[in-house]
Amino acid sequence: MKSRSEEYGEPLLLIGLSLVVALLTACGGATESQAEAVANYPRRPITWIVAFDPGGGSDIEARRVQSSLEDKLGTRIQVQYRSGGGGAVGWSDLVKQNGDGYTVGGLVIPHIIIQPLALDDTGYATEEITPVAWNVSAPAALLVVENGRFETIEQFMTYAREHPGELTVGGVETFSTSDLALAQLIDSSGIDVDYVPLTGGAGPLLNSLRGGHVDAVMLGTSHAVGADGIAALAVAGSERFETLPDVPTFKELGYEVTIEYAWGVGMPADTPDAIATKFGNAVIEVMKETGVAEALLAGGLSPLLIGPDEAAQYVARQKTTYEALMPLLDKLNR
Amino acid sequence: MSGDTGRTWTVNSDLAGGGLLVVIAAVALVYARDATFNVWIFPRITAIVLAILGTGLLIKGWLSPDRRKVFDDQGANTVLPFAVGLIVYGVLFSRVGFVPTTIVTYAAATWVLRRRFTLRSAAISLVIGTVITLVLYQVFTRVFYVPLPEGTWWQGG
Amino acid sequence: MLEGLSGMLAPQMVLTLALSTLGGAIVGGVPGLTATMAVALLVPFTFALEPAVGLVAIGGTFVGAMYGGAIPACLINTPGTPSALATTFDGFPLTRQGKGQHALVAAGISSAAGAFIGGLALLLLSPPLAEFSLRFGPPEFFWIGMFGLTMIASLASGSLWKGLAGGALGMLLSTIGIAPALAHARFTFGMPGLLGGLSMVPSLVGLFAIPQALRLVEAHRERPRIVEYRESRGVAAEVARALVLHPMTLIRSSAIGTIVGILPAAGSPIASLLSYNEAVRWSRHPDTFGKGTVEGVAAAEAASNAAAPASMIPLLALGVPGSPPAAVALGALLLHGLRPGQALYAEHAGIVYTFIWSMVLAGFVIMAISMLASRYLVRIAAFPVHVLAPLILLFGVVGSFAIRSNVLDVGVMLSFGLLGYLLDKMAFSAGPIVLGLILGPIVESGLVSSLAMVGTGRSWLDVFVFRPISAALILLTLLSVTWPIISRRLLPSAAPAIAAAGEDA
Repeated sequence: MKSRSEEYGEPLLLIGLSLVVALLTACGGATESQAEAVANYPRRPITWIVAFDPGGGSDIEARRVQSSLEDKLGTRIQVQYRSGGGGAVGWSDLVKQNGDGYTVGGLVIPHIIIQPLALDDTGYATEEITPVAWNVSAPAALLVVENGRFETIEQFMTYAREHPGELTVGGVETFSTSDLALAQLIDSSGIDVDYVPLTGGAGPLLNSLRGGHVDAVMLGTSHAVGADGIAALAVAGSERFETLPDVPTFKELGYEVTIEYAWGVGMPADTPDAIATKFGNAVIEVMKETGVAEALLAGGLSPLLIGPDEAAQYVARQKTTYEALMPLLDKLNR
Repeated sequence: MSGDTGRTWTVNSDLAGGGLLVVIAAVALVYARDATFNVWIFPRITAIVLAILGTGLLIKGWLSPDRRKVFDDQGANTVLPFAVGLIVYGVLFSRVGFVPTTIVTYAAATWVLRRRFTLRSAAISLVIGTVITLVLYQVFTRVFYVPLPEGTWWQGG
Repeated sequence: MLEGLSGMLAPQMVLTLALSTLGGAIVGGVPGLTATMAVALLVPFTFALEPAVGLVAIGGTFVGAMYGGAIPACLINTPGTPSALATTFDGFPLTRQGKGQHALVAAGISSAAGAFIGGLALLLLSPPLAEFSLRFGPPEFFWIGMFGLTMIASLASGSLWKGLAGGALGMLLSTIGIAPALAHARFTFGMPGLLGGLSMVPSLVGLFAIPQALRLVEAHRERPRIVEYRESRGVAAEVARALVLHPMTLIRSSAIGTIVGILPAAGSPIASLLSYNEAVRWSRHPDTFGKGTVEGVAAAEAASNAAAPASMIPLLALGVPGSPPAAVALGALLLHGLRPGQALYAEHAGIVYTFIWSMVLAGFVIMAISMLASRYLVRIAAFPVHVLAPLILLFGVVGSFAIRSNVLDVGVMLSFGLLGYLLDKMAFSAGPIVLGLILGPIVESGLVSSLAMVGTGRSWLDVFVFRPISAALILLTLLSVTWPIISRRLLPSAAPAIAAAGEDA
């Protein structure tokens, strides 16, 4: 059945394939010992995986430190985008890489902790990532329309108590900072409000607020600072936020809300400590440069200076908090 | 070439299409069989709608068959090796690496489609394939930082 | 405002605009590479440049890519970007008839017109349009999705039943990945790469480019080329006359593109499909659609190009990007410490207006490119299959991989390719499947969020029906569904033609 043409095709294909394969296998690299690798790190460009789309928060955080980090480490940093699954695709890729320090990933809290808790199979476990630095944070904040129904947090809480189940609080999907923080608020105050998960990220969420589709929104301080027509009623954490001096903390009113966003960098778990430390310290040093803190605060973010020695404990602390909130989250989201 | 294209293969498009869709819907419903919560409402409804529509097609295919020519020998001879080649390429792409697999596949495709089955034509195709592959490789990895696969077999990964 | 215009006319800016639009057109012109990718590729550079220059580059690239996608759509029946899908409906038949240049020029003129009108909306109507976009909440998005689904009927060539089934298939496939807002993975079969669901590019490339390439391969003995090259003269004047004398198509399409563009969830692909749909609906000779009419190309391209500047409206007015390239623009702004909103207009009016003007003027660059290049580009359709087919396949593979650096996406693309080829053989058109893929998440997330809004004092009807825009959309949806029946009564000639429109060549 085969015409002559088909007969020539296959053997030539095989010859061609083996030739090319042989050619390319011939390129090998010299190997170095473990100790040399650590001492010479870094001697090649480093890949920084951003687990989200270009232009987003993770991208911005990568770019923020990129050039200073390149100067400090003496090598190029190449940002690659591997988005999908709210970051899960990128992080599951990260944990598959060689732990040689030449691939790092931008991390986000709560995502890297809560995803494996909430989903059956994310492709990575929180422990498979070694965080080397946490450099930016933003506490959760309850946001409402400026000059709208509620001007203070007390008004909000009073109304919520007097009209149980009536108010809607929007948030970013489920199992995120939004419902975690709301869960803490509900837990410590006993109010009854409905949680409305919205898709598309913070932007559409704020639009829903402005458009009156939800009564309030639980996001972060970065969304309150400089946003038109949006006001923050209260922020999480133990101290007021520097660029929102008039906004009380939940704690002042007696409610225990500690959830915050945090951005950092991590490497696959089997990376040698020395390399991880070197990179993490470099990141922290970049954060201390002039102008960095001001730029962050102006954007509603704050510098976090958690280096490689404390990064893992930070994660562990958050994890304990989240684990305790899981039952309440399930209830909230049903 | 002669006008004779060989045997013609026809298929009842409604039957085949409907059958395929019903199978897909069934797979989806079976996969979601144990799940009990909201998350699965939408896919389940969609799968059921698909199953209904697929069954409708099956019925229509039985009542008033819509026979369509799917292949003739001549066409099949070219397309089928191509399709198989594509699948093989897809599988090997990440394992053997972008560069070797693409060079070979591209060259082979060009050579076969040129229908001049001489060694010279093969050589030209190989050159074209190599140049295009290497150019794309450099552009995407160096300029755009897109990590085209290097081949997991080489890296023991 | 005028300060921005003079800023835009500075030589450095004009050059940036011209180069970025051209670059965007080239990237958009390659099947497998998209506008988003083009803009993302610029990111390392735009973040380092001055904000105004960076923004102009992003805007130019975006608009350029929207036009560029039409080139392969017309010449080889393969959309270069998802937004050019509707352009294949009439663009390719024109090429087959030896009128490829007509198609390209039509695409150029209408892209320019769309970009211009969308840009004007951005310049003059931002505040009211942004205000309008705020009225869209989860219930509205749900109904938009439902309305969109009614387009399946017109995209299904031949059997309506098959079209609906295709749409259902697309919607089912769109559920792969993490459920919207519900944090649960579906149909991933243990592969973390699927957590992100099926991405648009691999799906589109798989459903259109691969079957097209395979079709070319299958027939290459009898048809070594798509079409023989035929020189034509006076094409530009002819097309321009056709479009300008009947301006309704361009105006209506640009308007649709603008409105759809300001909504974050929808985008250029939906804009152009909807616009094409409406063009058929309101045309006096609907049966010419799908067989090669410049009006069809114009409807699709004007809309997709208007949606690009329109997606910047919510970005600049509210800080909410209406499209992925707009998201990159947002990132560029934030990284320079500029927050979009009233403050930006007040304190950095120069930057804002320079950016806005660049989008208004990008249309002119497109016109120029189109006029100069069309007669050369059209020769691509005359390339032999042994050049075209491998190229289409290669770029399809690389493009699918490049979008998220995910190997699985290539697998998705190939699977869709084979599935698409089989379905094509069984006379299923791929359009409804793509529509299902795009609209599934919109419908579901709208549904999920809206359901959460139901509660004390807010009944089902309150949430889903008793809202002005929702009510209007419900009406539109019902009208759209019953239109074939209505039009049969009112306009006897139109009905069968509507079903025939959208038929792939």
